[in-house]
Amino acid sequence: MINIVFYLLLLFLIITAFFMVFTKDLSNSVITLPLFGAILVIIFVILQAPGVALAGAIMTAGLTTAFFVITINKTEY
Amino acid sequence: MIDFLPSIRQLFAFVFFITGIYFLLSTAVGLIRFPNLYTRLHAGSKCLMAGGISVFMGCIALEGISFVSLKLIIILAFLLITNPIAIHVIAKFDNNYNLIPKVYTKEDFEK
Amino acid sequence: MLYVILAIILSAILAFYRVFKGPSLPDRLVAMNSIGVMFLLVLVLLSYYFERKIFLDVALVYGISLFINVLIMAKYLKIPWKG
Repeated sequence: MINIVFYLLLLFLIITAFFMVFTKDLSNSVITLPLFGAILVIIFVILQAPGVALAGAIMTAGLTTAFFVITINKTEY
Repeated sequence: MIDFLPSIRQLFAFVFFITGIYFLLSTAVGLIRFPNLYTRLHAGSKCLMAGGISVFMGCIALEGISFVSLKLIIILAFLLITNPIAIHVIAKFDNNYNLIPKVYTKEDFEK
Repeated sequence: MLYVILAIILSAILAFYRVFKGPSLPDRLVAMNSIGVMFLLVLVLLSYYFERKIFLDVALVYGISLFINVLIMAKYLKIPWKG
């Protein structure tokens, strides 16, 4: 039963990654980035790794997105 | 007498979980089918927080009184404080976009 | 317990349609906030499924991270016609 949840999350991860790469606007791509991090955190929790999940929750879902947003605000595209 | 207590607790947890599932699915349907941005903000704030409160109350009813229950109450209070602030900030961010909602007059309903 | 997790993940996949095909940028922000809160509920329920209470800390840290993300995005995202 946990396998169905795990495969559904993997499918959602692939959909999010393809949308994040192939979209036209850069703001849409940077909005989808914390969702990618959140799905990765849930996958780490299912695989029984709470330390990696804590590091992923801070870095991938938090600080990386903030730095990308501020960097896109400073540049012209 | 003490044997009835876990079953009653599990029954309360089931009722809270089913209420939470209903509110969260209606949040998803509301985000898809509402026509306007300011109506989607309603689906993103009220309906979502109703589902969140229901799921957290189910977990608290399943746990009982312990230290973990206090940690759950802390997460619930944090979510109750921060989610309306986030929705309010997004609603102020909409002000830059000049999204005037379409006004339906009486002639539109008569067609 | 696991059916609740399955229903919440299905609801998140349904709400991802608004991120995929939103007319404007605040639509995507509202949908992102909703999906984030749903994933926080999934983390809390997984902590009960595996019976390891250390996973609640992951949920708390992820909640703080989500709130900071929404605040920074609403302040610093670029508005195209304001330069």
